[in-house]
Parts: sequence; structure tokens; C-alpha cells
Amino acid sequence: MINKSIMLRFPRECVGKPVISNLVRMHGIEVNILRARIHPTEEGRMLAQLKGSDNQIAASIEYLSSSGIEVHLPENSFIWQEKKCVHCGACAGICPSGAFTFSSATFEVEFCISKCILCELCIEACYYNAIQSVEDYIETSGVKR
Amino acid sequence: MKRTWEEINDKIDRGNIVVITAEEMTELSEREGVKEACRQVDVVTTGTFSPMCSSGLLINTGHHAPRINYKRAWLNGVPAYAGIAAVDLYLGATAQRENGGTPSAYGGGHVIEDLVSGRQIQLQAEGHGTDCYPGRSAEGSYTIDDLENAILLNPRNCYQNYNVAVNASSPGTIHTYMGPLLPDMRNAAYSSAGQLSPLLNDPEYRTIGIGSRVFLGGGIGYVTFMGTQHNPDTERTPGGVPNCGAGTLALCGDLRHMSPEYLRGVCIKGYGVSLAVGVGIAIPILDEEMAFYTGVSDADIPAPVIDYSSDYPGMSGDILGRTNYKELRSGEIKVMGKQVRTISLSSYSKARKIAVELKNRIRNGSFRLTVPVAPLME
Repeated sequence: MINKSIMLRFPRECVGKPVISNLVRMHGIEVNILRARIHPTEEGRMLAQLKGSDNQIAASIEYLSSSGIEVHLPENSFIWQEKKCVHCGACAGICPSGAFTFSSATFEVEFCISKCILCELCIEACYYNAIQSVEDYIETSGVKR
Repeated sequence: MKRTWEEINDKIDRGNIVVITAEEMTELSEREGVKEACRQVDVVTTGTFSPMCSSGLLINTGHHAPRINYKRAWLNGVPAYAGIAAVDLYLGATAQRENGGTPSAYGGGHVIEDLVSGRQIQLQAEGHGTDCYPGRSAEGSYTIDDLENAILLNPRNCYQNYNVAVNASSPGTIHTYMGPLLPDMRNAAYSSAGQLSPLLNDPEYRTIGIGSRVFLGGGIGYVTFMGTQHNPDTERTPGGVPNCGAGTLALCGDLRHMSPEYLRGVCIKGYGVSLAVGVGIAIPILDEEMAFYTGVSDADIPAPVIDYSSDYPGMSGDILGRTNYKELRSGEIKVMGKQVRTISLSSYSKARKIAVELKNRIRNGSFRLTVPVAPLME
């Protein structure tokens, strides 16, 4: 079993369809919806985590794409922008879920997206603007307008 | 075993200097003893990288036609101090962009980072208009190369030691310059490079003094004086390490030779803005006492735990307890019987990079040591 974060963009014509419940029924995976919203342009955006086997997840992504939904697979950088990070470790000291950790060997921050519960405490703790909110990500990333 | 400054600089010139970082010195003196470490090592390099609020930039924009004497001025919307000569301005790191009353996430520290990154900044200025300076307003765009001078002028950097901040009394999260502090002491914030920190490796200021050449923001700087709030007379451990704040340094250097890797604007949510500064200082091992001092380890450096929800703002002077940097760096400390997670505001990995960079500069002969012209203690 693996956890995979996905970011979906539903074009206007897909917004009313029960895509996620079809996905669960057809592919037997668990879907944890982290954020979903319908944009004023009537497009939908959703950030979710899929839990299942490699094959189930590959089939799920195939299903979503063939249903006309744009699928983005966010890297760690969608929350943690390592380029801006100075590795002070403030995020790791406040993260309640163990997504941000601080290596005692390298004295550097590490981030594991599948453990992130999007509480956003880290955004407040980061002085360097190196952590992006999911709302900002949904608003700006990978979406061609 | 004794060495002179001249012998050390000669070895730097000849390229056979033995230089290691403060972290390596701690290991070496633990392994081989202070006497042997002293025999082997000529110079130890230190480093620190952390928000240092008492920092700022002195600029001279060059004159306008007609001439103007700035009375009020803004750089990228951030107010700068204009109460000096005609086109000189001082931009403080903690000044915030004027934003119609709401606090801005952008400030003096970010303007400094923009300039050192080569980005253009906008000036707006007002003058009274006099016979010799008739101009009443001026605008302009400047990159760092367009400015006549851009001098980093920091009244207080490199605090020798620092508080550990907790929230022991407020029912909600409080927003401080030490970051968010959760209620019931659910976290503790600290800010020192500990065993790598410059003044903790020369606790009695024997080699760091007025005139010392330092690594500042990636370039070269100098200790210009003792910093504001410099207080060497604090209680110390038998090893000479101060139990709290103690010494500070005023630093100065040409921004043109610095780098955004070691100067970063910061935004402290619910508090304000500042500048994170990277500083490194090389310490000559003149004798066994300096070898002993530079062998200091995180476990030898105490830090006071202070309640930032009552005792700090109220100036009560009370502390909740003491810990040390070894415990702080382990991720958890014990305060009044409770296990508390720690947050570091100072970047140890950057501090390490600075100490290594300074070591390399000394090795390749591009950084010589300067004898202080006056001590930091009276």
C-alpha cells in the first residue's frame, strides 16, 4: 500500500459528475480529500491522497485522466519550497504529524508529503516564506487559464 | 605553546595554515585533549545565521538635478531614516512597508535582500526645498550598482548567548519575535549556533575586538564597536561561558560584495519583519586558553528558559529554568518537569556552511586575520 498525493482540475463539464465515488467503487482505493473548491469560473480543484497498491493507483490516475480531469502529481515542493529554505528547523519543531522532520545527521529539514495533514502551523513558523499554503497552490499551480 | 598574530598571518600567506571549524575543534580537543589541539591548530572558524533585528543599510543614492535634501523617504514603500545628510538614508531591517495601516509582510530586510540579489528598488522622497537644495520631491529606480554607497551597518549582531522562549501563562498561541509559542509550553524556541557561534568560542573577547575582520553576509565586514546592549558582566560558568545574553557586536561592511545566500529578509507572522544575517569569525589559537575556549561544546553552554507570555514582556527578570544547547538540539527539553519540543530559529546548517567557507578562504590566502585595535571590554 502506498499514499499518493494528487491535485485534480475538473473542467466545467465534469464538475457535476460523481467522479470520486466512481473511483472508489471501481478501483477499490481509499480517497482522502484534503481540500476541494469550485472556482468562480466553475472549474473545480481538489487536492486528495490516494491509498492503495501501485496498480490500483496507476489505474485510478488512468481513470481520472480518461474522464477528462487534469491530474497533477505534486512534488514535495508544492508545500515546501526547498530553494527558499535555510534549514533552521522551525517547521519541524511545530509540525504535529511528523511530515516535517529535522535530521540530526545533516541538520537539514526533510519533508514527507504523505504525512502532511495540512494544518498549516508550519506556515506561521516559517520566517522565510518557504512554505506555501495549499490554497495558494490550488490557486496558482499547474492550472492553465 | 604560543603563537603570535604575525606568525599566523605569515602561515596564511605561505599557504600552510592549519585551520578547522569550531565544530571540528570541539571533536579534536575531546579526542586528543586541549594541549594537543593547541599544538596542531592555528585558527578556528565560527559561524552563525539567524534573524538579527538590529541590522540595516546605509545608502547614498547620489544627487538629483535639481538637488534635494531628503526629509522623508521610502524604498520599495518601506520608510527609511532621512535625518542625516542630503542623499544619505538609513534603512532599518525591521521597518515595514507602509500599507494603509495593516502590517506588511515586506520590510527593510526584504529590500536589503532585493538589492543584494541584483533586483531594482524604487525610491520616493520628499524635501523641504532650501536655497541650496531646492528639490521638494524625487523618485528613482536603483540597483545596487546604481547606488553611490550601500553599506550594511548593524548596531547589534551575534548575541553571545540567547534566551529560550516558552509560553507558560497565556491560554492561546502568542506571536513573538521568537516565532509562534503554543500554550501550556507545547514548544520552546531558541536562537544560537551554540558551539559554532563566534562569541561563544571567544567568551572573554581576547581575540575578537574593535577592528576584527569578519565574514559578513557572504562578504567582508568589520567589528566597528561593541554592539548595543553589550553586557560582558553577566554570570558565567567556570569555563567562562555567559549564562545569558552578554556580549554583542556592531558590524559594518560593503553590501556590494555580499550574497543573498547569507542575507535574507524574514517575516515573523504576528510580529513583524527582520533580516537574517550570516556572520563568521576566525579565532587565532594564540595559546592553550584559546584552544580551551574554542573547544566548547553545546553541552557546556547554558541557556535560560523564559516565559514570553508574562516574564519577558513584564520585565520581571524571572526565569523558569535552565537548559543547554545539547538538550535543545536533541529536539526536546525538560522545563518544570514537562517535556517540551524545541524550535530553532538559527540555522545550524548555514552556520556550518559559513564556518567552512571562512576556513576555505583562510586556506586559500584570501582572508587574513586582523589584530583588534581596542578590546570589547573596558
